[in-house]
Amino acid sequence: MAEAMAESDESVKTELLVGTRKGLFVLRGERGGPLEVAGRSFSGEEVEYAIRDPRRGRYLASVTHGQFGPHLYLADDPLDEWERAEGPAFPEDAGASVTRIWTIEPGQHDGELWCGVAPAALFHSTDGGRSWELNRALWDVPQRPSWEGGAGGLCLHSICPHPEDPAKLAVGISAAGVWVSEDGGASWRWGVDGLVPRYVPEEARAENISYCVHDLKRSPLEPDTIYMQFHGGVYRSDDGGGTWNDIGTETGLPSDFGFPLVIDPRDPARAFVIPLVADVDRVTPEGKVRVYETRDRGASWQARGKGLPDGNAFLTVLRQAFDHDGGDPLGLYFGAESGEVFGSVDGGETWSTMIEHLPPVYSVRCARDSGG
Amino acid sequence: MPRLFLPSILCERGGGIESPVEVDGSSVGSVLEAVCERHPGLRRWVVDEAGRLRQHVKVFVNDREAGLDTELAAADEVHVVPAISGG
Repeated sequence: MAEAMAESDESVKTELLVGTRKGLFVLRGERGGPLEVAGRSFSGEEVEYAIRDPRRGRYLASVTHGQFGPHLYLADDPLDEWERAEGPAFPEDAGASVTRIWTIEPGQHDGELWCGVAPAALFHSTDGGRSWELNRALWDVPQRPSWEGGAGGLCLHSICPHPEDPAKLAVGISAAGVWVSEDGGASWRWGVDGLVPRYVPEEARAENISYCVHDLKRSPLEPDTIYMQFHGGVYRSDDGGGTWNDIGTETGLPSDFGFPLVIDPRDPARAFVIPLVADVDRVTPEGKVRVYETRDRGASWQARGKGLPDGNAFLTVLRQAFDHDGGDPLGLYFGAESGEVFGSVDGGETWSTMIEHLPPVYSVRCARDSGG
Repeated sequence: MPRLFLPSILCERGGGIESPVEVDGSSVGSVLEAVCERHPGLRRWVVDEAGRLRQHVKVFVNDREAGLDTELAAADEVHVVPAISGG
């Protein structure tokens, strides 16, 4: 299943897992240098997402076969054979079936993982992803029958565990807003105060329940701080996801539409977004690829584009295609639907094209790095 | 006894099934279930967790499209046919 193309495990410095429309690409190389395709798995199949669980060193990949549906795979070495796991599955009385596995997020305890799927639901594993259980409390919230999806369908795509308190959890659903639990997922409350769904006519917003969250990231150092890229809007919560402050209006962004965001794990005031023109034109503005950085909690944003395409570049970057490596200075990587992966190892000051001509990129995750 | 024909990709994903498979059963569903019991790896490729045929998988009995409830006679041939896709 895996086609190994390069070197031995000992030489790994930087490793990216790039999920694409045509397989999973494992990119490896020296930090800051060009990355090579070390291996490709699931050739021809859609790999929506792949991560390496740093606690066990195990790799997990979400793969959707065009005819045969979504499946979850596990591997200890992404260049070796992948084992198909049972994956998240709805119990019979839920009356639903998983159509896509969107995200997998390590929890606080060893072997604990959270998984978000379409139709929007949260699953929990305590054995490293071998078995999964539906979170019934979120599935049973009274509003769920009225939830509606966005362009990507009704999906739970963002999961923010709390680094210190396993009882606290926040999840993002397109287009059903933010849901916050403070009892380990036993109960949930809606966290949408402050969000403005401009895509809903003003007179209908009071009754609106469609909040199209695009991405959520929690600060590990200041866990009540969560940043959000919204469907037209960039927000920050200072209370763990209950209420939201607008940080996308007149703060220096060329557009407040986009998909992914990254937060500096060492600095809660520092975050990065990649604006696209608008929901009706999901490409980089003015044909220039730019990452925008804030160092003041979103009060202002500055363009970071040195080394990125500066013209004739109309790229789309999807919600899971941007990640950091945790290094110091911070390494940043993002991929585009046009098949490029760009990277920076100096916190976004300068960028280079790490690889191009891949299939459309769905996700980019840093699996391993030398740490800078 | 009905005979179940599987495409090579499902034979492989099912863990090395040799098609066709002769299997006792009075309906498409019971034939599929019997084969999935012998080859558990096959199940989630053909049906979802609710037991429904995957959206892009069709079943034909002889030359007619069928469903899981379709009844079978001993001489029937059951063909599992995934959608053809490319690109």
